[in-house]
Amino acid sequence: MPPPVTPNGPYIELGSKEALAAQRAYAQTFNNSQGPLVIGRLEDTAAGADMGMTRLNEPDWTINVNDAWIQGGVDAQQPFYLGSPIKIGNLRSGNPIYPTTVYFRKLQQLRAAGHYREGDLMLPPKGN
Amino acid sequence: MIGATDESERNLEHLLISLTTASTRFRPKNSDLVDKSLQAAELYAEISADDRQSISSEVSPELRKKLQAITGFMAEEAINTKDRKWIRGAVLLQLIDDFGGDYRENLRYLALVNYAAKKIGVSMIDVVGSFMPLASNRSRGFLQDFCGRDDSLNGLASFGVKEDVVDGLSRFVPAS
Repeated sequence: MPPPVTPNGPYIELGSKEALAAQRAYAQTFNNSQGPLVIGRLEDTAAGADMGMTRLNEPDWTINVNDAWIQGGVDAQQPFYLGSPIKIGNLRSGNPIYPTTVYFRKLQQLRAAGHYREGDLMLPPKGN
Repeated sequence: MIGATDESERNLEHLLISLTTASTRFRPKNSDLVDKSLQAAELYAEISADDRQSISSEVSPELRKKLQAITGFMAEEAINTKDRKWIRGAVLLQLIDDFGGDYRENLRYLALVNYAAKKIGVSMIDVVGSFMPLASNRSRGFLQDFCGRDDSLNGLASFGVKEDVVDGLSRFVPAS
């Protein structure tokens, strides 16, 4: 019998509300056939949505749900439009509990997945 | 004659100006910042509805960040002193902010307050409920939504933070 698995990193209880929200968020970006995906501060993504872009707008939002939304787009090799400028004020929270903003976390996740910046876009890795 | 609420509003404005310039980059070494913020929160509860609306509409992006940071420090203070006044103060700071920026940032800090309240046996729903008459429609909506969310959505793990105890004092730190 295999040893019990100890969760390492973000862990979502299967079947929980959060898991269902994460599943919805992932599906939204993975299957996206609407406008380009837009990331940034809320008011900027709202403006993007008004122009036909797709943003995360999930009432059961958590950081884990946020990560799932980005991951869906990454797995589908989608580009992400940068709705907010990349500047310190939009990236740092200025406190030790959450040193960075949600926007920073999204950018970090995209960079870790190999996305790179070109103008106002984060593009999927070349050669895929 | 100057009314009590006029004076309260002036005092509150002074306090908020000083909070705007306070440093929250590192955890405060004493309780001055949270004490001052609690005073601001209490003054906010005293002033008229029109004045509350006026104060909240003028919160700058810099102050918004400070209010969120101090909300987190108050949640830590609540755990360390087991005093519900910090839970009340933290919720009032959210009313001052009035969810005027990115509401997802507010949710990150409300999760800390919710955790602290549970830990010291205070009902977050009761505290939020007691401040509903002071809240704008926007704050009321967000706070009620937060309190109505499933427990699996409001825990620390869902927001990438954990509680750490250093020298006998609790504090919140990034989980990874």
